[in-house]
Amino acid sequence: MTASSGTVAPTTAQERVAVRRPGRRPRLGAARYFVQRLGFYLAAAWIAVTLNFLLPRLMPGDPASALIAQMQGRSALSGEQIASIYRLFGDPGEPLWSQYVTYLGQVAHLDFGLSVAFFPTPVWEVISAGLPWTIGLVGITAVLSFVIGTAGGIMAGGRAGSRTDSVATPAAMFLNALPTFWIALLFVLVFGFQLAWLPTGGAYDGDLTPGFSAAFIGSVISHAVLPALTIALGWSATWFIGMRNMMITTVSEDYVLLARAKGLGRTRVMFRYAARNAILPSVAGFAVNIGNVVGGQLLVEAVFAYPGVGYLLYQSVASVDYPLMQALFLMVSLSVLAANFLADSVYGLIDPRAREGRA
Amino acid sequence: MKWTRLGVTGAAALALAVTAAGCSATPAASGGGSDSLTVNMGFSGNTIARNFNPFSLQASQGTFGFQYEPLFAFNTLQGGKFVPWLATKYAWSDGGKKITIDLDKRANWSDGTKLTAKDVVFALEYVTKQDLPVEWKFEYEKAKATDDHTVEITFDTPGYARLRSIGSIRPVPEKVWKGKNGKTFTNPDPVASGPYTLKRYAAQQLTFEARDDYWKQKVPVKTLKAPVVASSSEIGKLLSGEVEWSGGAVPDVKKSYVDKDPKNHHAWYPTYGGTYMFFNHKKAPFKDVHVRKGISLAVNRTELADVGNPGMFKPLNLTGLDSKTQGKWIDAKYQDADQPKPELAAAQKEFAKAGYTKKDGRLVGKDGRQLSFKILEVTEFADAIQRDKVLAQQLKQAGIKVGVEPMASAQLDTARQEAKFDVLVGGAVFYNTPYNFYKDMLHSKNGGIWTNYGHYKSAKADGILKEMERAGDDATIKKLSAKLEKLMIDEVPAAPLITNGASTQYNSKNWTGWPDEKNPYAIPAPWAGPTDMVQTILSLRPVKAG
Repeated sequence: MTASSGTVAPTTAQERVAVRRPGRRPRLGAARYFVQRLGFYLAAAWIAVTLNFLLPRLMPGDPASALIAQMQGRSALSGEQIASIYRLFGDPGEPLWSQYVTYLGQVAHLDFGLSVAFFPTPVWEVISAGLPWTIGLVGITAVLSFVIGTAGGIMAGGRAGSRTDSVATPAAMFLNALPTFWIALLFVLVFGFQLAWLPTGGAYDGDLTPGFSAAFIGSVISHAVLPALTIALGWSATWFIGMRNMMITTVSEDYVLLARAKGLGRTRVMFRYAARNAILPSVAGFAVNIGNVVGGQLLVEAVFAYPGVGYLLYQSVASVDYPLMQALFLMVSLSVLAANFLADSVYGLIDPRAREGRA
Repeated sequence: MKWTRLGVTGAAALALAVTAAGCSATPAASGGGSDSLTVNMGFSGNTIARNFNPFSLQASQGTFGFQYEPLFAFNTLQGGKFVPWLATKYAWSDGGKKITIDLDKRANWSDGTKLTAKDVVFALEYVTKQDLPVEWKFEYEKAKATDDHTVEITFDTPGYARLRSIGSIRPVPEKVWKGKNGKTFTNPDPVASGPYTLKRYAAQQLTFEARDDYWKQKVPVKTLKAPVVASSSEIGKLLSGEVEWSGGAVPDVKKSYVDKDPKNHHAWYPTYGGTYMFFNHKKAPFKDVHVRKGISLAVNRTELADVGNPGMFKPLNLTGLDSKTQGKWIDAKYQDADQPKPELAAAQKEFAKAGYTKKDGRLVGKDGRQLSFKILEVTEFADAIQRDKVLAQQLKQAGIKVGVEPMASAQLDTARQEAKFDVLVGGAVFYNTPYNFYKDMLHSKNGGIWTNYGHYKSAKADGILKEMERAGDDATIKKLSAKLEKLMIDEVPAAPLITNGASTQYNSKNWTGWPDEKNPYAIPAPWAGPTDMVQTILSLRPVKAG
């Protein structure tokens, strides 16, 4: 994703394609491109599914001893109790390959059995308690920060050195460097406790009954403001900086100069000529970022006691909860793959060089 | 200039949106109405599972005590004083091979039916038959209900030592549980005997409502709210009064909480156990008693007690028992067996007996190498790591090189079980008699598990413990305990360091009657379990307004 690879004028590339493959050829190329990509992603998915099975099992410890260690933090365990825990959660005594076959069956049915950390709650129930909150909070925040950050980057980078640029860029760099955890704590302290404008934790007021009432929805929104702002500050700053830097390189390209020289309007030059090229790395970056959306934001969730997937992931690792871990990691890796496939496809549409396999 | 203008407008719109959202939001509720109380029970995650199965290890907080109750308990803060609950009394017969338990005739379930001896026997057999991993499971020969309010349990060998487990039996209504798999049933709508019923379940807050027909007494706090509280906001919510009762260990709690409103803010960390240094007995040089003694003598316990939370903990009696709460069991000789300050000269003498001499500030053995070891600690326990580092500094004065190595808890667990470590620092808790405490720590069968972390093995200790197991009266137990106390001081199988307190913060603005130093009727920590936390909530009285 170097600057030069994304900034060749589309006109030139189209001309080249036209010279070598006249007629319908580019379309066929597109179809083959998608089939190729699909094959690649299917293979990647299988590898992800398998690694997802193997990696947790390479971790030290097992569910039973993790549970015993956790319980001992709270109270004494008798020898008998320890023995029954081992009988309940200990080594299944099944060879790894047969566990793998069972696991593949579970993946096919999307049924991962009972969670260990929340035993005996089924994995799907545990995840479905957290996932909507994560997707709601992090998903909306991710899209908003992408739009705000990228738009800001286009403006600042399009006229590098302008007043907007010289204020916004250092500000973005500062925000980008701040640790999310620290921003979160600061927000809780200032807006939550000192000014008492906003609630300091949870996803909604626990005294309300969840439902489609105005009070409940209002409570959900007010509870989401601080965590969302925490995430959005850092993320939009990142998109801003990336986009601005790409824009600066792009606006100095010859084809942009040519467009200007032709007397095209500034807006048109900026968006149709410069930004369209400069945005490519950001699109790819956004796809990778989908993993964060599905994987949750552990630190933000921890500070705001937000019931998302990030904290579940942490708990599943801490309790060596294979079923929950597998389901969550699988969800993250498959959605990253799906998002990358989509991004690749969009790439193929907006950048013909990708179809040629040269980008 | 077009970009600039747009940029400013965009930023302004964003700022406006933020402000608007801020204004429309309802401010945080200030909790604590006339008949409700908000408690931070310390849920382990951000979501609460709807699991109220009292036989499940992962049962949600509030399952015990507020809902399911034990037969009886012992107050650790008063040397194990008997606390009757569902049972009013018990009696041993047949040389300890039989116990007869009388149930309180008033006891009933939240659906209005009577709690009978059959329910008690059912719970006991249910746990045994299904091999459920409950803490109170014990071996018995036969259990039967002789009438509606009397239970008889018989044993092969004297069952005195099982008294605490017997008291912890938590009966469930047979009609609900019969035919259910105790391992996988989540019991979403519990029918129990405790003072509260679940009014509303939400993944982020449990709301309990007092039972009007609670059998034991009138319940003063009508609504009990237990929300999920992030540990980073605990102190903020305590200060704002949003949370009135909390069990987290707040750093420097006297300064950060109590001093902010000394009239209403209270922190009481009553001693329920201690912190000990466990030496690996399978490894040199810790096999040598003089090395263990020397290390113990070189420790500055007063300084150690004030790390992190000044004023809340104290140096521990060298018998391992706390002289205040367990004083009843400590032999007169050892009542003052404290060592608050390091005694470096005496430590050097002990080390000399083991062949170590101090050269240029380093304690060197016969082989010319410095005495050095590592303390393993769980990575997440930041305060414990800090404490271990202070300990390392103290031992440096005696010329010992000590390192602190943080690691994942699963890894540490394995190292402990396999005796692959030098020294560990950990906690142990007190029970109704010193028997269980010493058995946990000294019995050879408990090597590496709980809390004989050091794999200590001694035929002498095992012998005394065996005698103690068969002792039914306090006088005999105390006499045998004195032998183990002597062993602790002479052999130092583990070095007692400081007391360990059950961290509790509470606010007396709306409710009074909390346990304290003067009236230690229960451990007030909301995580203390039955009967302590329930006794606390049932003893509260509203503060009259104005």
